[in-house]
Amino acid sequence: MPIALPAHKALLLGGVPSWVLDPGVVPLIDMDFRRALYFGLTPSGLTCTRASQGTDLLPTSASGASFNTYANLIPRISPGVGLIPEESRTNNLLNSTVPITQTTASLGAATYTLWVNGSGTATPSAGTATITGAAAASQGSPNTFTVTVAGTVVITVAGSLSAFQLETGSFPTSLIVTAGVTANRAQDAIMLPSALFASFAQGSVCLEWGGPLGYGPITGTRNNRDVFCARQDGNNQIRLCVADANAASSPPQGVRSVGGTGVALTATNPVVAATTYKMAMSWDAVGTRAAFTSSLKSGLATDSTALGGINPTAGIRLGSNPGGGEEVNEILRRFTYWPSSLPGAALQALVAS
Amino acid sequence: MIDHLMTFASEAAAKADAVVGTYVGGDGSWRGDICIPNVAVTVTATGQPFDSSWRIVIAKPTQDAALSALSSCHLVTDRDAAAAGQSFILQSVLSTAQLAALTLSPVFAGSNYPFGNPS
Repeated sequence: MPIALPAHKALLLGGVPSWVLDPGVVPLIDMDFRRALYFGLTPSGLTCTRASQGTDLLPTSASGASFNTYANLIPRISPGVGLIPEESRTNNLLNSTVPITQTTASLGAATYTLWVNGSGTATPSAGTATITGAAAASQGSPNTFTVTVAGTVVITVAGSLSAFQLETGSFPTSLIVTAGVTANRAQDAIMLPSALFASFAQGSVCLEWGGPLGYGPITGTRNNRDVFCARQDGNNQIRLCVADANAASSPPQGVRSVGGTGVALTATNPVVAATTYKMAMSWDAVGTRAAFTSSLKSGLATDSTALGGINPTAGIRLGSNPGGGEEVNEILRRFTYWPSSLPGAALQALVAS
Repeated sequence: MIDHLMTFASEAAAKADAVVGTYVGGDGSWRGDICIPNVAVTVTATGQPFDSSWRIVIAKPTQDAALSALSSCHLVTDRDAAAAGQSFILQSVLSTAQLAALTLSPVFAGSNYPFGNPS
């Protein structure tokens, strides 16, 4: 009679690959999106509810770079780059991969970002709108401007561009391909299978994000950037996030858990472009402990609030919050999960490696 | 994907709707993974708004019976059928001729609806 093994035990029968992150305890899941190496869970085990196509041409991609297009509901795992979880955005420009000078439809009063890929420039100017902060956008140098009175904006193209995008927001996101009408890329909303997380009485996670094509600082009103979040409700969640520019009364935070407990980070706006970050956290009935890449925060952050009672009924997400929004808008390079609580020293070693 | 175009007098009315209001997340904003709020419907020939209504598109893998049954549901379309050049209008309060004269924007990236596309 065959012996039924739990899924994660069965996966170990073939041995543990040498690349798996193993601080003396073999993880249940190790997903290295950048290198396309998977242990315990493959991308097909992720749920992505993005209701639109998406691409992996980033504002930081090289001039003239080719890009992949991902169908609805498919996680965007860019070869050699990583997983791309972003918020919903609309490209207000038509025929975005064949850039020519054009006038937008009426844009509402808001902050907009214009970015290009290629050797030319795109420059916004007022049509019927009133705008401030307009300047030429060029490869690697987006222009963020403000429409103070709604109306049309003229985008003038010079030189040779491969793509361009004008989106609402204070920072650029990945390319949204448009044709004859404006188009929306929906939020990626990437969910881990809750069945693999049978118990949240204790556990540990380590995440690596950013990297050479990392976007860098993001400011604005929606400023919590969730790298990982397992949520029961607003006051009960296991969460690693960066809050770049939280309310003045609240310090920038690196982790939130029960009751919104936070860890003050080193700098007010600590995320830098083209930089790799690591965050690791463990939890159990005693409390939590977290370690970060030293530029975010040095040392070990501890909290004696027990997390053992959390039941992530609202979902477990990579790159956003199951409660809505708070997208990381960055590249997730690697996610590792242990169903046991790693000691603080092991977490510090993970983020230092 | 099936796109449901919902029409209300205002965004507040949409959020107050017992069915459509469930697509608002815990942060008070519309679910970004399947919703496009503030969709504009304009008369293609003039570029002027079709009316003063407030609209949202909600995409689902299959046609949603609860959404489709609402009087606020003005159009239901099959995005994949449209991309394949097949009949794609599942439900509409407007005639095909009326739809052909209108532009709906933005659409979900990857859509290829023939109506209202001026290119």
